[in-house]
Amino acid sequence: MKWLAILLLLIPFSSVADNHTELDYKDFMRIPVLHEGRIKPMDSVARIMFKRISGHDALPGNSASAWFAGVLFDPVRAGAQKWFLVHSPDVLHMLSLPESAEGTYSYEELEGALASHTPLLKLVAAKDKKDQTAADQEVLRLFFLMNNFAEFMESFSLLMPLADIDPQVREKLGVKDNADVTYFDLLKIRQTLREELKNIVVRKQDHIDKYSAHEQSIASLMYRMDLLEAADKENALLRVIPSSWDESGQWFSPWSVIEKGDGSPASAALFQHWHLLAQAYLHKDAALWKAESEALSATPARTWALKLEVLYHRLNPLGISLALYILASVLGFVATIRRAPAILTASYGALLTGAGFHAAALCARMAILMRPPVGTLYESMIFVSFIASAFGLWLEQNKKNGEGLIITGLIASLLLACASVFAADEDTLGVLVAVLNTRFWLATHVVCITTGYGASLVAAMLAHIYLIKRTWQPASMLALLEQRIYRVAIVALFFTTVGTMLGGIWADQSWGRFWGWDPKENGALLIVLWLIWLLHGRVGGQISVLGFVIGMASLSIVVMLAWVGVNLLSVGLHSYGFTSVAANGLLIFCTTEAVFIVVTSIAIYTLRKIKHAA
Amino acid sequence: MLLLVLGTVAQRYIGLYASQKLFFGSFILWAGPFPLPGAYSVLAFIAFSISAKLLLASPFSRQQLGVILTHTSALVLLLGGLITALCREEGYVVLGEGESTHFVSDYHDRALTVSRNGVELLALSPEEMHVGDTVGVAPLPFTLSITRYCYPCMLVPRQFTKAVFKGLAKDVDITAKTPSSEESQNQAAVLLGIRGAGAADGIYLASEMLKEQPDIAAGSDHYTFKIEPTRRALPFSVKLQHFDKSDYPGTDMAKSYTSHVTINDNSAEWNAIIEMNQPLRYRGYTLYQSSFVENDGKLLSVLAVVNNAGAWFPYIAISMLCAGLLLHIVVTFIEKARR
Repeated sequence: MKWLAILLLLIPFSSVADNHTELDYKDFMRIPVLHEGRIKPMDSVARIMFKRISGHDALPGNSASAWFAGVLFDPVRAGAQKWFLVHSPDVLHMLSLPESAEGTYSYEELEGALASHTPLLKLVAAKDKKDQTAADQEVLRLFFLMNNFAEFMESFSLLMPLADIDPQVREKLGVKDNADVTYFDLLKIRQTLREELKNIVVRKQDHIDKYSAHEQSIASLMYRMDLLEAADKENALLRVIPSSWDESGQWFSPWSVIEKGDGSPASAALFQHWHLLAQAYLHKDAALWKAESEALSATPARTWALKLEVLYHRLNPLGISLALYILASVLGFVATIRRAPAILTASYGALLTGAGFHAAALCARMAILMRPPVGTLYESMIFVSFIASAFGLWLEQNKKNGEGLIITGLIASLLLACASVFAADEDTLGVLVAVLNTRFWLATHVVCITTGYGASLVAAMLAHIYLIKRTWQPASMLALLEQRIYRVAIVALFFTTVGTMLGGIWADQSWGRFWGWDPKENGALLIVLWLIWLLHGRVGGQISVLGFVIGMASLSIVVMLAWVGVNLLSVGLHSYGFTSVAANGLLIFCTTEAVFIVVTSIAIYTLRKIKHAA
Repeated sequence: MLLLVLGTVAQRYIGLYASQKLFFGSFILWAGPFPLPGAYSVLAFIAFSISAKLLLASPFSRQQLGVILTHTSALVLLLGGLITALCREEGYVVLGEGESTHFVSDYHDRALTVSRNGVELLALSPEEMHVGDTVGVAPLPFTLSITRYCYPCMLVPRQFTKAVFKGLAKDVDITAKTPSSEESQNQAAVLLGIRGAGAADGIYLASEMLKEQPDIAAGSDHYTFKIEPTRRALPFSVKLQHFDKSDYPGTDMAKSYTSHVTINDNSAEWNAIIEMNQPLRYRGYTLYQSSFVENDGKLLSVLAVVNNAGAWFPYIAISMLCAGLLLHIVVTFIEKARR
């Protein structure tokens, strides 16, 4: 119902002159916004919304911000453009939407479809989370996304020029005939207009047909103002004006400044800048736009962090690392086959540069979020990836044969790729739930355990190489490799054990129990026990060298199950949500690994038998 | 390890608490007719093996010191686990601002309490509630018998009602249901018979699922019957002065919770703050900020209260573990350098 009113309202706005003056978004990108619990640059809000709506990362350059400026300042056009990606045929069917080749729909189309399916939406929303189908969840997601989008579209509705303004009203306001008149301008004379309307109603009741043109325009104007106020006064998504009195860090949206307003000179000045910025956009006044966006980007906030965040998104250092890691493992592979030291050096260089970008990315994230690097599953993945590449560099330092480069390039790039799947449409720089919001434990336990995971994966991949080589080389030639696996396993055991126990202590500090057999705890314990079992067996001689290596190769499955797999169970205090894409990925990973280990082991044993027989 | 995997996967199906009890809190685990060792047995066996190794097969030498220390730390950890399993008590208190209590409610155990004019007279645990038994306890002027008790329980409409059923029991019957994996969905109910109270004689229904509790008049007194979490007394009282929930600005997402409390022990009073990750420790009890509930627009603070003599063992164990591993690394390194 609210949407209908809003759409009605959108139509009487003056349409925007369509000229193609390029506006400069460099300063607009850096304007601080309080969004989802954190002050971030406009650019980040734009990217998150664009990703959620279109399913794509923003196009290169500043197009997400340009797109977002269109949503904020030219909502009529933004509402008609096909941005919303709906790929599920079930969802289309549920909402009786026609299939389209691109799979994208405009806000208007979707709004119409959702509005005519309100009973269905209510039914779906009332369902227990467990009983909702994937399509149900997608429809709900779409519904909330549309609400968000609508709220952004109307953030500045009070600064949008209204059409059909009576000349007498213009006179009262003291503006020229062609000047824009907005809700905000009219607020000054609202009381007078209301009185005037009252007099008209007293004289002519509600027989609108008897009203003069002037009287009709006053009535229509008052009606539109009331509607706008009713629809948008709660609009609070785009918080761009810091409160001058609230010390908890509350910020206001344009509408809430007018409605609740703190009336300080600082916020009035900012509001004026926004007013001018909206005008600049509508009239494509590049000079005014530049000046106003520059002024607004100086809104008091941690400016250097905002700049860093814009840079972080623009450079995408993790993407660069990913490319370099892939390059490193490919080059490493080529170098090993062709025994070319020059290529090996190039591979080393690629891994080193990749790790450099990776480290820079981690540092930038820490600086932006002001907390240790790992707090979410996504962050644990990019951190473990970094640990793996660091291990690779260390291994390669010790023995320059390309093994370290291939495997760590592979692990690091796989993990980075997985991480981007996990990030889905979330802000990868999000805030943390209360219990995780502690720097000390994030810095100790989480870093320790993820380092353990990284070391475990490296050891497991070394074991893979051992298994492959063992098919044609005798054990005596691989003794050194086995020793390296053993050493990395010791390091992995150290970090996972200490990390797990620190985790227990954190749990004791915050929940009152050291150990609760929670899935995440059990997972960590499983890795520790697996390593203890193999290492003790190896030292004690109960497990053969080959058995030990096979066990170590399987560690990759154990780690992935304990780290990612337990979130599938979605019970316990540690789970952070899960997607079915990830579940399938995990299944494929585990199956491939299991098949690889079984096949190579059988091959090794059969070949050994043949040799013995010969 | 098998136990660990089974127990973890089972949590998805039977819930965290039930699975913990079944897999990790037992000596024997029955897989159909086959007995498997439960976690207690496995841990006991590991403890026995480590002790045996330390005592019989570990010659005390400088090279082995780190290894011995590390293994001892595992033993300390297991010992701590044993002590925790034996004597740990945990529960919770729910307090609104200005409220005070010196009782802790248990998370899982329930009791049927009988109070006279608001003063608790007796509490019966489920083990003491046998169907058919009469409770002729001295302070009661009537006999109380248990007609039916079930846990977990569900309420069903009563098909044929009789004059003997009073209050809600007139229309509602109770029956056992299959346990839910959601612990909060498993609730208890009891049908209780009253005789010797004159006009109030009859069968009543008390359940934690219902707001309305049986309240009967016998003589000039009022008796109420309730199923509630078992309560244990604290040696001191806690009063919530003020509860703070701060959100990330512009969202409903909690950034932190803080309870400002006053502890009263034998008329000595002082203020303390309990926060997420910042518990309060006093007289062997530890009070944690666990969560909060919203009731009629008011926020109530939920504090977890734990009394655990074994709580310090992990701290000792981890220190020993770190020392042991580092020592071992250093010793090995020195040995290598010497060679």
